[in-house]
Amino acid sequence: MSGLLVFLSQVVSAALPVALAALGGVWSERAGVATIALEGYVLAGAFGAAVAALATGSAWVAAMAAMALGALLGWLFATATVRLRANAIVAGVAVNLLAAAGTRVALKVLYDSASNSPPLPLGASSGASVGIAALRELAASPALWMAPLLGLASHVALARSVFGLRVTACGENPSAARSLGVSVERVRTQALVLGAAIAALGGAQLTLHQREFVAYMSGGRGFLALAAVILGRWTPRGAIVWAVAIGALSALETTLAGDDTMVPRAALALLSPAAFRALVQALPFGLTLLAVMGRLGRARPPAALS
Amino acid sequence: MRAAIPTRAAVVAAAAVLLTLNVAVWASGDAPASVLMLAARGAFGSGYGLAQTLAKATPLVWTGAAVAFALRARLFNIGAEGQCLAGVLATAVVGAALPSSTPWVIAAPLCLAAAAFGGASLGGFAGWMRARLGTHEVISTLMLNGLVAVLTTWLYAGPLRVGAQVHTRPVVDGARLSHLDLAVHAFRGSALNTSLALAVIATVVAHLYLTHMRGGVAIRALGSSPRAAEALGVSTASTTVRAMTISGALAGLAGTHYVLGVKGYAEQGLGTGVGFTGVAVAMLGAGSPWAIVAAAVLFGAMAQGGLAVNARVPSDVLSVAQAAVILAVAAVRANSRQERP
Repeated sequence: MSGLLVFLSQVVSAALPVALAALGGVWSERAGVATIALEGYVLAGAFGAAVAALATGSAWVAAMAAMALGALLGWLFATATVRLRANAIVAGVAVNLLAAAGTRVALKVLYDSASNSPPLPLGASSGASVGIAALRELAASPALWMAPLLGLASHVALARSVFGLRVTACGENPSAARSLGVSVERVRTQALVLGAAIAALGGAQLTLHQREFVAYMSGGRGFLALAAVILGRWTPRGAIVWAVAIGALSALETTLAGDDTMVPRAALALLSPAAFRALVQALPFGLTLLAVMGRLGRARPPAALS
Repeated sequence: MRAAIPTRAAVVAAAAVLLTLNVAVWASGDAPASVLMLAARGAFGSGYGLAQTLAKATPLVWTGAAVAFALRARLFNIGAEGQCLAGVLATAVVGAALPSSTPWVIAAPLCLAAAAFGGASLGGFAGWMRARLGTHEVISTLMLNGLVAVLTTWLYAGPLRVGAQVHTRPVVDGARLSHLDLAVHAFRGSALNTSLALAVIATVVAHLYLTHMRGGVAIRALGSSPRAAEALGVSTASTTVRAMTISGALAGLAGTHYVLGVKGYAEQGLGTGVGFTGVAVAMLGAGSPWAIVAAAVLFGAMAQGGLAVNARVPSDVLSVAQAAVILAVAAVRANSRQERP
């Protein structure tokens, strides 16, 4: 029982960063701007959360700071891509590099370390070894409460609100939107900043969970989130469902790494435990490839996605 | 098609480096001018520094040329990252499998071909997906990057590792590319090797292919006007596959610098990041082979200069400057008339 609780809490804490990053990705891609930059948003959010938590000792302030830093980075990305019309892929590469290098510079300047921040003053991590403690720790994370709220709000907003419909219009047919008097630049900028803030909250979850910031700690979650966005066909619900699936895979991988005896017997006949874990890690990428190849139903991106 | 020398991009790049460096160094509590001098001296001020700058530029010439090549067909090969890792893997496997007495005339070409094949297979697959299934190459190559990263991590930690070592079996001696410090005494101790010369030659040859050969001209035609190209009898499908295959091969060949030049074996982390930096190099140097080489040297110098100043300010200050260069140049390119390659 306790083992199951631990596993479930691991699934949730692995899924949250990816789900929030994917939700952020849905907002910006639905507006018609390809968002490689998710990786950078997550990393920047993780760092912002660490700085704020170290300064104030509050997880909620940390979450807000993460969103603010993410929004700032999103604004920079929007300025480059929307206002200055820079290629979104190239600008995304730059934002990722900026986040990776910028957080390392700030780490050195603020905490005189090349690799990690001091431990956050939020109580020692229990290591999530006891079921109830793992749950209590999870419940103290702002991201846990904000993620469903943001997911629901995004779902409703994209489908029904004026702003959401405008975002979709800008992603599907910007010139039609423009002819109806919508400022495509403004709507896209708003969607990008919003998406970046949400994605950065995913980074905050990483830091709050690990109780410290570690350089490069986003570790490819932004790209996994992009996979979730595509597999979820650019909808908030789909993206979150797939992010949870990816989170479950990653929790499974962690569990298997700790205990080889958990690898299914049938798999062991063919593969070594390490190979089985690699297969589990590769699944999200492989599934996404199949999805965009049209092998898992049609995945149609927003028409104006560049 | 004129080979536009991106003067404006170069000016903006320089301005971006200077500005970010000033701000970042000042924020780190040091004097910008002296740190910049130190970085420049570290990158160019000695034979060793210069050689290290060129060594760090070598894989970037390969990946920069790779991304720029696909861009000519208006294809965005963001998979240079994974293609480079595949090149590292392929050349290390082939190089280690050869009998130890294999003469270099056989070993070196085989290993080069393996690296090219590793990258080309991934690039070609993405090209095929684009041509036959309409899958956007940005998405497919990003996912292939993820797959290759998982695959190589597993292989280097497991099946390919040699006993207690964390790397693959060494390649045969005949496959090793010579270090240039054998010829130039001032370069002593540097990792600079003949992969640089191969990269520069390949970049120039790729350019000549694009400008003078039938297949290359078709690639550019596809890039500037797909419909006109189709009307002229250029097959969109096969041209797309060809452009991505050659681009992937160039990116894969970056693996030769690491495996045949520097290390002699493959290990986790070799080549990580150079694919993405290659995107920046291609952006800065698009249009001319020499501009690609120059852009790669610029990024190599920033990496080497970063190490030189590391005692005073974090070396990542230089990476922040790289990011600023990419953003600035991307914005300038979008707003200038020589925008399209």
